[in-house]
Amino acid sequence: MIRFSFLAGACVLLVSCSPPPPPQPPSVGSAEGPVVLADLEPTAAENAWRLARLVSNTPLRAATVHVAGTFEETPDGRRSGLDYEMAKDFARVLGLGLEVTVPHDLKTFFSRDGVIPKDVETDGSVIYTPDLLKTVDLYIGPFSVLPWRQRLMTIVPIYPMQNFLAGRKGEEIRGVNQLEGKRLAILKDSMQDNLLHALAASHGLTFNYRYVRPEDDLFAAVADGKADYTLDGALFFAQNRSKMKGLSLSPFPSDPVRVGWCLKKDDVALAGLVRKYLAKIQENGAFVRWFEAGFGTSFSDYLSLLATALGPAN
Amino acid sequence: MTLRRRLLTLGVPLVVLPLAASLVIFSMKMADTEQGARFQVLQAELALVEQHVRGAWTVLARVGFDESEFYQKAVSQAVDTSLKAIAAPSETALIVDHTGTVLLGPDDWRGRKIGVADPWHVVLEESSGQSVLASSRLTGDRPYLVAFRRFVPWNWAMVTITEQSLIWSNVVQGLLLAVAGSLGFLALAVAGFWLLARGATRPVVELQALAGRMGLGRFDLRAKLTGPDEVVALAGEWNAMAARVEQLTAGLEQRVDERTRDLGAALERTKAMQDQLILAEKMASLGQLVAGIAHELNSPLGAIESAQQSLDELLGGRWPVVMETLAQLPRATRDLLWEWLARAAASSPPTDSLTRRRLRKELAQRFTEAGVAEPVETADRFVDVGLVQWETGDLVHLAGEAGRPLVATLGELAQARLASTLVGLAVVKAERVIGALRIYSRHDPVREASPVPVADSFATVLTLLHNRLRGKVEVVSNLTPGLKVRIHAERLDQLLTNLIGNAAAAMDGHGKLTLEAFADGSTAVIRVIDTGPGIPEALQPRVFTPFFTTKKAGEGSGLGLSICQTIVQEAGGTLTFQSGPGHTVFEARVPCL
Repeated sequence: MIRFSFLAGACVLLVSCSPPPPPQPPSVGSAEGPVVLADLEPTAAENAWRLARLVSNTPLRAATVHVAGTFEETPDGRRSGLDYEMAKDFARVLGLGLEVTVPHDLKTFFSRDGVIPKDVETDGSVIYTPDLLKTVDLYIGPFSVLPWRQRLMTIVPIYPMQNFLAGRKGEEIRGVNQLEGKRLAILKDSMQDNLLHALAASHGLTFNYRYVRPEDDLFAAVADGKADYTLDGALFFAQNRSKMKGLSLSPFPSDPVRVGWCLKKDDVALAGLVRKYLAKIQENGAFVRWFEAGFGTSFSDYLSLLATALGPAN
Repeated sequence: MTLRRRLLTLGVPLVVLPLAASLVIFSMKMADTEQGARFQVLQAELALVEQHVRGAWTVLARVGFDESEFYQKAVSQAVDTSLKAIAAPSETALIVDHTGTVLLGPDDWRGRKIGVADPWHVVLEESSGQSVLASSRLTGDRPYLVAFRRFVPWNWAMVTITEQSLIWSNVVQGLLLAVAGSLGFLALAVAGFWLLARGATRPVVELQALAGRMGLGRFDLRAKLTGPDEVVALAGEWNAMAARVEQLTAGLEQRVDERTRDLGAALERTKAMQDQLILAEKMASLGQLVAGIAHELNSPLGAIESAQQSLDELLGGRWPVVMETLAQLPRATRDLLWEWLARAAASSPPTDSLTRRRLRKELAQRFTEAGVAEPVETADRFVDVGLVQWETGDLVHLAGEAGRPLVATLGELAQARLASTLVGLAVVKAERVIGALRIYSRHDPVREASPVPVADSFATVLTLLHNRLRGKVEVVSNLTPGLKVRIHAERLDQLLTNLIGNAAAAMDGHGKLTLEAFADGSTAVIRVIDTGPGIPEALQPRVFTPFFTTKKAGEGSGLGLSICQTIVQEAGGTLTFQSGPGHTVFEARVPCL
């Protein structure tokens, strides 16, 4: 249900609107070197969790999906991506190995006994631990922090994200009502599909959905006139900006969300370690470095894009 | 001071002073404007910073990251990136967090803790509002222009700073460029004024030069009709004036020429008249002198003539007594002596010496052959008496003792009579000349014309010019008797004297002089015609010009024909001539009576 490429192109708008700034060395955080375990100042519970893993020689087990910038794997087995780099470094800090599982079905991340309860998003009493999370320690990836997910898991937020509409130049969206009757090219049952349906319902709008397959070129569909807009995360657009000739981005009229890693509700020690680790890599600049390496844009530019899109003017 | 220099002296400051004043005012205004504009820019940048920060804060606040120091720094970093793209290099943007630490700014600012001792602390403390202009000497002598805005959610102080000197440097730079441009403009203005002054004054200078040349008499020159309208108008008026002056001058010159010619002619006439008067005076004096001389000579000549007549009467009266005495002589002697005396009386002794010598020689020869004593002396006496044609016997007889005293007496008587005759002839001739002189030199003080016989004047003049007409000059006179003209007699004499004298000179002793006088109606025509070489055609127009002469210096005054023309004109007539090779005819036509 979640389009993990959602975050990909958040800074495309900035890049397309102004000359690309000269490369800036990561200045957020300190340059104090790699994070070490002592930096995390682990509590007794956290140390116990770590020792247990060391004793049992159990690596840090993570599940993720192939999303550009987040987790990528070449045919020769080489892996990269922001979440992968963080997970690998986090495992290093803990002195553990890293084991990454990549399910083929996104529903697997939230299913219970193989299915996702229909009322999981609306019924606050539906609480469970997803099947996959019972076999791994955490989900690494830009999982949106949504209320229903927070009932199922502990989500450590890492950075905010925002959806954007990509349309032909000159047809930018300035208000929700401009979307009335527009043809929208999206993946069926994706988070964007759900967002659009929710938006249509809340504003009384009617959209013409042009569902495409994952391998289809969304930008070509818009550029060729088969659709008017497509909806995706900013980072997705950033990573595919070379395909966006003749197109421009408009902020999607919805609140930003946080994305982060998911852990089991009862895995408090690990959650604590993750939080402290994330703070450290934000502090020492590793996070922004991996972010830029993974998405091809600096974290500050990404924030600028979000600020521009979601500032007071919006 | 020339107009050109005056234009430059006045015109250039007229450009320079306003230009300099404009530059100063413009620079001052620009400084204020630049400072105000720069402050607005700073405020705009601050607004952009705030919008950026507020947007990021909104996003972060919505997702709960707004308290994260990491995100706050990331936001400041994001703002820094944006500001670097839009802020001028001379501007400094700072974000100071609630602790006084510079989150955003140049490297030498970043991380700086702005404490109480920091000069900037005053600004931060004093800037409690959202936007302030802080222009103070914060560090040393370098004043800054500061825009300040506080972002309350994070208690950030957002500051944009620029040095006033940089603002002024832009103004100064602009001023320098303006001064450089102004200098160029000034050069152009000077050149323009110079060209303008040159263009404006050149026609005037040309007019001045033209006036100078006009002052030298070049009234034909005209000013060029180029330049400003006023100068063109002036040149047009000048040309019109020059044309009028030229016209007036030409008329004046013509009138002066005419007057000069008239004056020249008058002067010549006056001079001629003066010469004529002088000549007339001279002639009057000469006439008086001649008259005096004639008067003085007249008396002795009268005495001579009287004595000669008395002698002649005496000798004539004595001759009958001699004849009567001889009658008392014997017949034979008487006949012989009578015959001898008759012969002697009938013959005239030769007057020329050659004849006398020849006769004396022949007679001496015959006396010698006849045995007469003193034949040579006797022959001389007989020749003096005129006894040369007698028979030799008679002559010898008379030469004898008996006839010698008688012969001697008769001879003396004969000589006396001959002398008397010669004296008489001489006196008549002298009287004729003196009479002509008296007539010629007569002077009528009344100076009124009177009827004058033309032939008399011709006779008088011919008598006077007798010597000049001697030789082989044939004088033919065709004069109508009794023809009279009304003219001063002496003028007519002078007219004829000049005309006949010129004819005689032209013929130079050879040729034919024809004198004609006849009446043609009421006009008397008087012609003097000579057969001289004629007057060259080229000289004919100047014949009557006073002082014109073809004679050698000292031989002629050149006034003769001019006087003749004057005489004829005063008589109411005309004097003309016609001349060609071999003949010249002067014809005077005057009223006749």
